[in-house]
Amino acid sequence: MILLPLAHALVARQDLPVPAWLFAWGASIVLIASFFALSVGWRRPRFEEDGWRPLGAGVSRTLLGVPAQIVCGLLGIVLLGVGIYAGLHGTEAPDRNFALTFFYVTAWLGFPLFSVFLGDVFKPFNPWRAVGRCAGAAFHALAGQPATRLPYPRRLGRWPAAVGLVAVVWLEIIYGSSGGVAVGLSPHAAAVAAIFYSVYTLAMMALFGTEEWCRNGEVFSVYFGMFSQLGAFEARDDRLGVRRPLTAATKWAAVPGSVAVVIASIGTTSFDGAQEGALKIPLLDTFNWLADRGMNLTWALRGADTIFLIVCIAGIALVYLLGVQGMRTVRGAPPVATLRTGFAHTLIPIALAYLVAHYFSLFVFQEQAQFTYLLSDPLGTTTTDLFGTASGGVDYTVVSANAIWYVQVGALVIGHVVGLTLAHDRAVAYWRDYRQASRSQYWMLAVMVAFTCFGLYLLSSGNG
Amino acid sequence: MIAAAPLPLAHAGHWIWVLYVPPVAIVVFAIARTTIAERRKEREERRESERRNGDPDQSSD
Repeated sequence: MILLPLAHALVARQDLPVPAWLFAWGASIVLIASFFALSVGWRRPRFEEDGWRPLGAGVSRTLLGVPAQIVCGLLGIVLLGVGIYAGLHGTEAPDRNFALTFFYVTAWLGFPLFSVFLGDVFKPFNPWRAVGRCAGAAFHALAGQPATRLPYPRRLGRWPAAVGLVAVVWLEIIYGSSGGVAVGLSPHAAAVAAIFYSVYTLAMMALFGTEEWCRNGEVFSVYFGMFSQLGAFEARDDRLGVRRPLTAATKWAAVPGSVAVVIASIGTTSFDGAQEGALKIPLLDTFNWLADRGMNLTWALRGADTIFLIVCIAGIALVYLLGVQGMRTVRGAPPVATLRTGFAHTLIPIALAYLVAHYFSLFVFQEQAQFTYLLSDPLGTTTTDLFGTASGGVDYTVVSANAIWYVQVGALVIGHVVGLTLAHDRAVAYWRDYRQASRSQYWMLAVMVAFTCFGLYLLSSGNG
Repeated sequence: MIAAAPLPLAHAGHWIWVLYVPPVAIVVFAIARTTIAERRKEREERRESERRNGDPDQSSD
């Protein structure tokens, strides 16, 4: 069986001072205490205005100027090209090939983290945007006029990105099975998928325009951009500026499909965490059931995984929608549709918390590989040593199992407290009477406690 | 038959999820209880104000 570098079980059993389930009780107490503190001390909205102000013109010129755009765009294109080339021509051992770690760890997990702290950093490095902009500029120069674009359907909103997000995760954790055994995605399959995605993205950019597609349908732009809404940095009209953290998130979900994006993010991460723990037995039972009915073993495993992936996303959506319905029962509540989109941004910190909690150890360990032997020997053929780091390795003792557990718990607690704070702030904006606002937030408290306990259960069952 | 009977304690690990339910159950129970109590209070207050508005002797007090 092929080694599984991307199976996310890179955590050892912890030696905790108290049972893992007690952390869920403690985290719930923290949330309840935060709820009461917010009810008492937070009586007017503070996140509705972002207070954006520009930084110095020199900073903007340096970081956002044409030379920086060219360098970043080229770097993005080169890295995508190296990833695809390594996937197609490198070793099929997933842990020795640059492609998988670069696509699914460095980029997929790294950009959300950097986006929170530095703003939408993916935008300048987005290789498809760079190609789309170059093609648009070339067409303009040759034809003497900008290319005609189709108007993007408003109702479609971010739905293509939500579906694409599920597809990207499906490819990573479900597609890579063979003969009824989860062997992980092969570098070759990842490279072929990257080529298909590039063709599809460039075609959509040609149809609807580069920036329009990046805002709505381009999976990575929308997904990483969602996390950048939590941060303090934002570029507007070629000026870099700072705003109050978390404030941009309050306007993010106004576009249709945004709720689906954030729910898909939490749901897919939950499934990934649950498939080796909480869902192991149900998955096996479903796999056997499908195989007994004559389904090919590979597709029986994919089918079982797909069913539970959908169940996880539907479960997260159901809990959120129950919270929304609960808020609707409070006197003076806006319509359900307004509540549904109006509180969706409160799930962004939870999506980030789930991401950190589930992939922190994977990121710490695999990035050591990324910046040592994978960078020097991207094809994994042991014939190249570009930067003299090909003999490097992964130090699994760099963080202890207990440290990983505390980071996971800390991420979940902080993420949910931030989510609760955003929800309370939105509630005092919707309900002018802060008492009614607090009453409406009983339901979001229940949602947050449910997500926290669920998240900790997934972690403990996966780690055990 | 005895050998085929399930032994729940042998799979105690499968029931660990139960320990994660109480915080959620307590919060949901508290919300339901508070909501019912608040609605009852609002109903009584409404009834009281209607009674006062409908009774000229009391409304003049």
